[in-house]
Amino acid sequence: MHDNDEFDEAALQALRDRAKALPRDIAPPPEAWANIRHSIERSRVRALTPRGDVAVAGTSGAHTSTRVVSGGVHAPAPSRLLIPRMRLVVGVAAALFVAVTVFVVRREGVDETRIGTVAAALESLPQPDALLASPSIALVFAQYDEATSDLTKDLEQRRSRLQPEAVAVIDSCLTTIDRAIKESRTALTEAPDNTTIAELLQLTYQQKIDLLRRAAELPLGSL
Amino acid sequence: MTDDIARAQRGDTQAFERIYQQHAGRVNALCRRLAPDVNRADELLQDVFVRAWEKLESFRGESSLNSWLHRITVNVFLAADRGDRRRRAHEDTVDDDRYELTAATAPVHVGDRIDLERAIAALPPGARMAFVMHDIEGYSHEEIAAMSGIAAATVRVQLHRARRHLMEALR
Repeated sequence: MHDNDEFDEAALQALRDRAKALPRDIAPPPEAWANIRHSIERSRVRALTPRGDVAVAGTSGAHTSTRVVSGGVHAPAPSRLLIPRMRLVVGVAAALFVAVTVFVVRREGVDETRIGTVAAALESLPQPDALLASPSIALVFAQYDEATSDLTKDLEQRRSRLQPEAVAVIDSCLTTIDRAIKESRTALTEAPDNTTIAELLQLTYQQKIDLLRRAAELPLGSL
Repeated sequence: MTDDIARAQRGDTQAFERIYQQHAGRVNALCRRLAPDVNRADELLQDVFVRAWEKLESFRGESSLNSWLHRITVNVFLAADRGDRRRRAHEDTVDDDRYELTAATAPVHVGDRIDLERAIAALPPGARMAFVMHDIEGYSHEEIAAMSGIAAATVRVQLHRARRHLMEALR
């Protein structure tokens, strides 16, 4: 069958011309990216399996989204309650992170020039493999802190000039994230070969950097 | 852009956000025309980019990123449509004949693009997909077949059906 069988040629051509003239680009709704980002962030922390395994998505790349890390194969398992508790804390941190993301993304007038340090922070963030391979966990912990230090200093310098509501949201998120980091560090010190904990720690630091980035993007006095 | 793709493949959500900003308009236009209404189009757009994030590792640059996103859009749309069909079959309320009736009797007037958009939205899903991908987006029958997993001959039939409906509706 030909495309134009039984059609009047002129009418068909007119229809095709009108179709081609339709706009090829339609602006998406403004909240679409926040929702997409929410879904992406939510997928980063996967549920524990019944065996106590955990899958961490997006920690070191999108390709890790289906990776399931067994806590019992490569490393001694930490206490039975520790991983679920850490998961809870990281989950809360992720939820707060999403909240602040939506909070910030909805504001206009983002200062794009302030985010230059973020790429460097992410680049310098040690990967979980480095944690597991390093003879000195404390040294790698220091590298993690160094990766976030510039952004943290930037926030401190801007703190007094940001609206109090914004500062309260950011501080609440940072408190939860720092608690998750502390718990992950303690657990990793006890079980230095545990891949699951190393990836949770990496994920939590990424959340911290993303949160600090958003804080750096806030125009002064805009909220 | 290539650099952003590589960064996003390593998990950089900021790079992915830049990719989104560059392509969201094109993808949204496709979603708006494939989906039966604006709410479903918004859902489709979000599902497409979440799926793109999940599948980004598989993007090898053999096609343009825009084509790759269009392929995902078609697949997500068809999967959703299959779900709708299952529900409709279960509820036994709506079928393609109902769609034909809608397209043939919709109060559509010739003259502006809104009329054409409305007439497209009233098409049966398969015919709508074929028309949008072929006559608006400019893909060949074979390309649409490869994207959707539907035989090229079926795409031709659906396109023919779509044009017939539209020409009747816009007469």
